[in-house]
Amino acid sequence: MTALAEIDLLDEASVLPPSTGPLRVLVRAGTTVLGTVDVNGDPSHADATRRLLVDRFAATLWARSRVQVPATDAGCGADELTVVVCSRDRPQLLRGCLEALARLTPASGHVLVVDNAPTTSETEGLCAELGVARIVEPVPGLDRARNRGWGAATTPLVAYVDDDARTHPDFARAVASAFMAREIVAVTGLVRPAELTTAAQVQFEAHGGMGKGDRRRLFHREAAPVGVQPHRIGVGTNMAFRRSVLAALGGFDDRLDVGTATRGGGDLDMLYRVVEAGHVVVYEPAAVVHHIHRRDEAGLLRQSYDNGVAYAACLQKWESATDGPKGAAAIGAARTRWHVSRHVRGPLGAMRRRDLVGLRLLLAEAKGSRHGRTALLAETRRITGRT
Amino acid sequence: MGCWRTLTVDLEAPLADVAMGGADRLHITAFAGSRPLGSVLVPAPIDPFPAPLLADALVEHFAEAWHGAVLEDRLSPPAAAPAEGLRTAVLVCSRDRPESLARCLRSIGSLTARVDEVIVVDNASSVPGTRAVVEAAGARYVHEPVPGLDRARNRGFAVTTADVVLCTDDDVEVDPDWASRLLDCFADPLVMAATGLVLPARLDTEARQLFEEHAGFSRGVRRRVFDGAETSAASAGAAGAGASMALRTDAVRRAGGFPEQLDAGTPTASGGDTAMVYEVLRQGFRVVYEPRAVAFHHHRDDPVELTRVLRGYGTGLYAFFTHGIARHGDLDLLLAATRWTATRLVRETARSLLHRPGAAPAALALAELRGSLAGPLAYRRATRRIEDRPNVALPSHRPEDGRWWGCPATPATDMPATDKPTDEMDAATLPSVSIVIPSRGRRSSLLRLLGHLRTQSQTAEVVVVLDGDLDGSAAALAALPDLARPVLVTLDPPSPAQGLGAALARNAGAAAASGEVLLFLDDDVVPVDDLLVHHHATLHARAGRPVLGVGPCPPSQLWVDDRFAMAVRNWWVDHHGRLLRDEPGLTFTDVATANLSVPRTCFADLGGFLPVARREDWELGYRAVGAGIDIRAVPAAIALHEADVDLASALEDRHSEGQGDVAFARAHPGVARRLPLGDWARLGRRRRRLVASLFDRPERFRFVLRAAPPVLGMLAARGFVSRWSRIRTDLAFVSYWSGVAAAAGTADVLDTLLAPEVGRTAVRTDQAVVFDLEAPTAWQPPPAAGNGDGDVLVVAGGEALGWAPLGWGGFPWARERFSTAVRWAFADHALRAEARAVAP
Repeated sequence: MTALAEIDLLDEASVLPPSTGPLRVLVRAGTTVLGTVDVNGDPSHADATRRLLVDRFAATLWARSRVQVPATDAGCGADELTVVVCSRDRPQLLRGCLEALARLTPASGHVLVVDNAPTTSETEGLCAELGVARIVEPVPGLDRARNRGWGAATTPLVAYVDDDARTHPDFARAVASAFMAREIVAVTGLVRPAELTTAAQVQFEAHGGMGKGDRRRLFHREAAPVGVQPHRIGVGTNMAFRRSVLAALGGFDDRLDVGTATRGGGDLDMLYRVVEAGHVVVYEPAAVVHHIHRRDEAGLLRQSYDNGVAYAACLQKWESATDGPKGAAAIGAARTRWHVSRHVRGPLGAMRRRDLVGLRLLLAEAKGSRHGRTALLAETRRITGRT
Repeated sequence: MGCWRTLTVDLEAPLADVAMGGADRLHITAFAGSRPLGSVLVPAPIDPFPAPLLADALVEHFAEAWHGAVLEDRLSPPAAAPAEGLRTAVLVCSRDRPESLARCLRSIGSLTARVDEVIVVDNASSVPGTRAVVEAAGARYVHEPVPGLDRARNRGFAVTTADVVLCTDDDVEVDPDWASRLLDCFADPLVMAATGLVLPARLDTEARQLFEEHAGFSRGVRRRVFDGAETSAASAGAAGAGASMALRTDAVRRAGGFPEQLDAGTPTASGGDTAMVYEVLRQGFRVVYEPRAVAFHHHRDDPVELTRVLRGYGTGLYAFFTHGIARHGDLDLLLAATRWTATRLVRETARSLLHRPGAAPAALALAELRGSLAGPLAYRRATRRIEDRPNVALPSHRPEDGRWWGCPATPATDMPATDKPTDEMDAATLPSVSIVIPSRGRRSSLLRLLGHLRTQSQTAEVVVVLDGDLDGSAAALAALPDLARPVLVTLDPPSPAQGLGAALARNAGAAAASGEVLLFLDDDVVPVDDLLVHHHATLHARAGRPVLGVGPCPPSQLWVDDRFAMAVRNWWVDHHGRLLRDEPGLTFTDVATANLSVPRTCFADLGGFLPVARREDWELGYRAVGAGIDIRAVPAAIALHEADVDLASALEDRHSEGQGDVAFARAHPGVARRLPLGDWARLGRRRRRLVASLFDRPERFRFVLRAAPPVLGMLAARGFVSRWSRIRTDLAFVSYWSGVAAAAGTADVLDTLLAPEVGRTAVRTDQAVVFDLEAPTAWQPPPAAGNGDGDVLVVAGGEALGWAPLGWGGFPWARERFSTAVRWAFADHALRAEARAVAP
């Protein structure tokens, strides 16, 4: 079992926790993320460990300390940010999430809970107890809840975190300040595991996890293309948008994500559409959210399956939405690449490595990928029926 | 490909937001101060691009290079200023591009260096306007009706009076510091050409981006020195391009000007600049690629033109190959041409046709291929075309007046006022001087030297010591008139074939001398002015306490024909350059007996020279430093030295040096690590085995050493200079170590002399030589601690990093090598130490 820790190399008071097991350390220099390092925790050698980390990032530390960046007020303030938490009947998880949001320094402008198709009044009670604003979206569907959230928000920026996520105290500042130009309409952040206690959680991290690296990156259709792979930009448990752009793009797609037959993909679809519309998305590793991964293997396999359904549904949607054969061909090629790499070569490689878990995850995803198209059609029918 | 914006950023200066002007990518060239670190392409779809994101990209790509540059800056000796009074000119050859020429001349107008004249050669222009542009800029207009860039350049070199000419093209804009950075390179008299970094001015269109990627001028960000005495002239192409190039007028005129059948305006289309660099390297001189001199080239914005230019590059390159092979019979160039054809031309064309990543579009690659194939024929056509008309007549190069180290030539009487005898230092108050000249079998040069000494404005006693009278020198001296006759000491060596050695001869001369100061001269030197004695005497009078005065002995000829003579010349010029520049921090390895003065009592106290064949000079210097006697340069007391050594006798000298070093190290335990034999502990496995075999049979390679020089001569004559130089160094290595082996007997002797506890203890206790990587004077090196025999403690960020063997920098003229070695060994350590200083 690996413990999670964080250290700020510029702050002498910041030390590693007294642990004797392996530690996964997020190394920062002030507000900048330098990287993630696995070390062996040993309280008696705390100084040596710190020295090791400094050596590891020596060039960056040295250069950051010398480069002269003028103080800028180009970014937004944390008070311009509403954090929206969509939750469905998981008050225990939600409580932890809201408590973490209460510890944000500086605090975000607002916190808003969207209670999605509640069957009990526990969530309502919890929000009342913690004094958090709550609105109800009676129809199940994460994207519906998300739409309800930005619709009700009043600040220019909206950040989404899931109820199984725990924000870092610096989260609101980091997200808001990453909106440092008007071209930047969306910001995604680093998702670290909140705990690595069970085998399933370790496996999930080992097979990619949710983090997208330790470097700040830009995504743009022409200058820094990401193609049909919006999962390289970020995930739904740590993403923020300008409310204006959500309105301009018509919000999230109600047919997608948890609570519907498509089982996910609402975040990918939105990031894809934002980039395709010519906007800039920034991945800001300093905006950290800790995510409680599924604890059991069944949950892990189910999530893999869901991912397969969701991405296939997204591809189906994008293909039918593009105009012209060129775009459709690009998406077709992406789909082929996805199947070949993840559902043919991936499992073969996993077998070669004797990676049984990896193999099962990939096969679950492959299985899910066969149902994406029908799921999207079913949801489309349901919505047209409803309206 | 989108629209790119070019940007140069100084990492030492505050960053700012970047206005993108519609571009969505940034082509950033980063500098640390004036040092370029490299270029990178960064997506920047935000206008203005925020400074924090720019900082991200810079830190990510350049952090380590930046630290390296800062360290290098700290460790480099301050650049020597170019010789005073160097006349400079900027030469721009232009044809039919008045607007672009006007832009170029504007940038030249804002140069920070003093430029004496700006010459524009209007080469067969068909559109009017060039003259008006030139006159508006206040430059000198010269017309050359015959088309041909090289012909235009020759016209420029024919009319200029400058010593150094900075060449650029009319589609270039130069940085304000461009000229001064290039001119700094000419502080070294052996540098005949310097080239600079050429960056793209704009990359806003696809044609320009393709040009930069596949035909750009950049030769990287590392400063490089191409030494023609050690590297083949075939490497000329790597040295830079005519868009940013400075040349000594002398070198161009010596070479007979640029070859007029090459470069733009002729069928060969390019290659003239490379050909000139090639000529300079063939003369054994140096070409510096100085990336701190920055110029910006406006690439053509026309796909058709781009194809034409690439085709021209191919033609020009192969025309240059043809030129070198046909004119000089340079087989190394033939080899280089073959290699280029196989690895570059064929492979790159194949890659392009297969659409490999990074390869040029097929049309461009094919254009270059076609051009290359046409090169030799184009050369023949161009040569025929110029056959029936005379080349531009260049004034012959300035006659060799032996004053190449101070350009321009200054008459001998034009010495700095402080050095004149009429100075506050009256001749009467100066110490009396005895000149001691050991001689053996060199009657004519001895008599010539005596003749020169008679004209000295300060009189001195002359003591000639004949180490055996081989050629009637004694009789010739006796025949001199009374006043001119020196005190004569004749030694009587046991066998006439071998003398007693110069060390004993000098000791005998010193014993017979009566002056307060002894001035040792070799019999084959020639004083440059009549103040040689005066300069030495003045030094001793001024110093107030005993010092050793070392006068420079630069070679008398700068232009030599023999390949080995070039190498020897370069060595002497480097070695005596420090004395001429009066650099501080001389140490025992700077002592040379060819032009050395020392107070007589002091010499007696030291006990004279150790009687060994070579190294008696260093050994005396070593004892002098140990006794607290400073070693000072006497820069104005120049005695020219005829460098008439051939390879065979040089190898013998190395053998004697090996023997001398063993005697030296035996006399002074601990010095061994600062001598070449200190390498014993650092030799690689193969070399060590070789040396070990020499200990068994010191004469093992005698035959090779005797037979090699003529064979090597043939190799050099065919242009294989790099190979020649490597073999020569290997021979010198063998020769030196066989000398060591002959004197030491067994390898155990070396191990004893180099035992780690010898010397280092002394340093580690009270006089550890600390070499602080962060201190600005860090390069001021180890010798500051006198005879600190052991190692140097290297520190950074207040933290001790480790020990560097002083042997690296034991030779003061190798200071640059020392700092490079320290940088290699400790750069990472220093970076970490400094990072720890940042992060508590």
